[in-house]
This record gives sequence, structure tokens and C-alpha cells, in this order.
Amino acid sequence: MNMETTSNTDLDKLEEMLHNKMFDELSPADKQWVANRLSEEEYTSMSALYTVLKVQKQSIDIEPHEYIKNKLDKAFAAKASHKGVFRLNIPLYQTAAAAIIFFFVGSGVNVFQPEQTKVIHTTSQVIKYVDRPVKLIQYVKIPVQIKEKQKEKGNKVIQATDNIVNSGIPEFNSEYLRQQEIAMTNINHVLNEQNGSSMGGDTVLQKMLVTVY
Amino acid sequence: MGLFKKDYSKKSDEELMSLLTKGGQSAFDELYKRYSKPLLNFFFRMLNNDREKAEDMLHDLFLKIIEKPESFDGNKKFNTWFYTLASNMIKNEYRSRQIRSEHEKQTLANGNELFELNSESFDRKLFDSRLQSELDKFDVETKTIFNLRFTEEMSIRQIAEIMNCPEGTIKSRLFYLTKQLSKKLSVYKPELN
Repeated sequence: MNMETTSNTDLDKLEEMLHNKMFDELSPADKQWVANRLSEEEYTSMSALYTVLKVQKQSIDIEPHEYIKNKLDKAFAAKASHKGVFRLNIPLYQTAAAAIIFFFVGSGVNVFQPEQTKVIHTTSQVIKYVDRPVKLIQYVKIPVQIKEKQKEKGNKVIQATDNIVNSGIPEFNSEYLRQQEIAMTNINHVLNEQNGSSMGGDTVLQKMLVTVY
Repeated sequence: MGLFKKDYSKKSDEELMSLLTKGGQSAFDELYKRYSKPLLNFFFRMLNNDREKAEDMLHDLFLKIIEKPESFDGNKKFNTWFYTLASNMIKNEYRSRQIRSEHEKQTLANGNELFELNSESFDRKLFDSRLQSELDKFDVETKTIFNLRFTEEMSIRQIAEIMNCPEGTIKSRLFYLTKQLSKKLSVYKPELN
């Protein structure tokens, strides 16, 4: 009597009977088949339900309002225009060719441009010695290619202090030379003093410090 | 010009979707013509005859195929795929809100009494209201299966694909559901008593 457990694959056959025949109209074999699954009362109720549902389906039938389609058409147009902006009709092979040309041209530009040294520190450090020439030390990064070229030319490239080059201040920097001379004069003056003097009263030393710093 | 105009009415749903992916407005129009009414009625029944909500969902469903037509798997039947989307939307809607209104609860409570007043003539409207109330007692999947079978007249196989479960399960659930409904609703058919 229970179709859920006996067989659920017979629904098609049962539905066909429910749609088309009342219980009394079934053949004895069909009645027996149904009786193994449903009572006569259950069959009659289900048959009635199927009939009513068929009628009911036809009775409820609504149409969509026009404004829905209009809204969708606008959305479609917006999508199409958005696609149009980004869609370029350029074949793939042309795009690839352009990319290759661009790559080589870009590489060529780099080949013909001289490599430039890059200053690591923008601030130069000036070291002033009282007994030696004033030097300006500038830290620069020397590319490997240039370094090798310099070696080939016989120029000295400092390896230990990699990327650091010391360069002297040109002699025509008269201000530094003048300060150097003053400093040296003051030192000689102190060295030649017979009696000596205290640090506070040592005006020469003070002058020298002021000059140096 | 008419000679060169494509006749979209003879194209399959799947062909139309392919054209739609390429931006064919006419393909979209044809799909809308074919499916807007049945799907509106499907939503309408599933949402307890809430026409406004049903129309909103119809709009949203078609918007999905405008915005992402490529999401359609060409190996599947469009009909099945489209109803799967619709069923998922219904499930989400059921999850997001309690769909039973006070009015329907009231109808359910007063169903037998109302019927007695109209028992001599079959009241279609009343039957529908009662049917909806009875269906609301089942989960959304069962209700969807019922509507796909009895209002959309889909095959068991199609329903199984849409609901993503075996055909045997669909048959079993349909049998149980119709048996329960026939018991509850037999009161609406005087000759059954």
C-alpha cells in the first residue's frame, strides 16, 4: 500500500492512469496494480487533484508588463555600448607583431645610450685636513661595463672600496687653499711659541679652530 | 531588407544564447518572448501570487543573461539551465525572508469554514489559495518540484537536473506530495467525499 517503499519508478504509469481514468474505469489488472500501492480512496483523491491542477494551470496565466522589457532593453544597450568602447578590432597577430617591434626598439634605445654613473649619495663629504690637501669624496656607483673599460685603458679602479672614488678639489679652489695656508701658519706659530699659553688664552689655537671648523 | 532578416523563431534556445553572447539583441528578444511568460507565472506561483515580486525576479533573471551570457554552459539544455537559475533565486528569496503572510495564515485557518460556504460550486480562487497554503507547509524544494511538474509540465528528468538530484528522489517526493495534497484538498471536490 505504500508506494514510497514499493516503487517510485512507477510514477509515470500511475500518473497516466490518474490523468485519464477513474478508479472504476481501470482494468482488473490495473486495479490490482493500483491496489498494491494505493487505496481506492487515495486513488480517487489523487485523480481529482490531477484534474483540478490541470484546470488550475490554465486559469492562472499572467503576462509580464511592458516596462520589464524596456528596462532590460536599456540594460542590453548599456552593456553593448560598454563593450564597444573596449572592443578593438585588431587581429591577434598584429598585436603580437607590435609588441615584438616595441620590444626591440626599446632594447635598441638602451644599447645606443651611454651608461651613466649613478650618484648614490647626493651629499658630498668634504674632509679638511690641516696638513693635507682638501679632498672632496663623492660616492658613485660604477656599472660593471664601465669598470671593465676603465681597466682596459689602464685606469685604476678601486676594488676594495667598491664604487667609491676619491677626487681632489681642483687647485683653483682658492678659498680652500687660503684656509689651508692660514691653518698651517697658525700651527707653525704655536710650535714656535717659547713660553706656551693656556687653552683659554691661546688665541692662535682658537683662531685655528674657528678657521678649520 | 526583410529578405536578409534572420528568422530567430526557428533557432534553438542554445543557438540564441550563442548569438546573445556575441551581442545579438534580436536573440535576446526571442528568448524573452519564449520564456518571460512561463517564468513570470513560475515566480508568481512560487511567491504566493506576489506579482510585483515575481516581476522583479523575472527582470533580475533576464538581467543575468544580459550581463553574463557566457556563464551558460553550451553542453546543457538552456531550458534546464534557466529554470535552475530561477529555482536558485527562489531559494535565496525564501532564505532571505519569511514568505508566509498573515493573510495566508488566516486563509489557512479559516479554509474549512470558507469551503463549506462555497462547497456547492467549485471555487477556483479559494482552491488556489488553499493549495498555496498547503504547499507552503512543504520546504521550498518540494514546492519547486511541484510547480515544475504541474505548472511547467516538465519531465522528471528535467526536474531532476534542475534540482540536482536523482530522478527516483523526484518521483518519490512528487508521489508523497500529491498524496498529501489530495488528502488535504479533497474537501474541495464534493464528489470525493
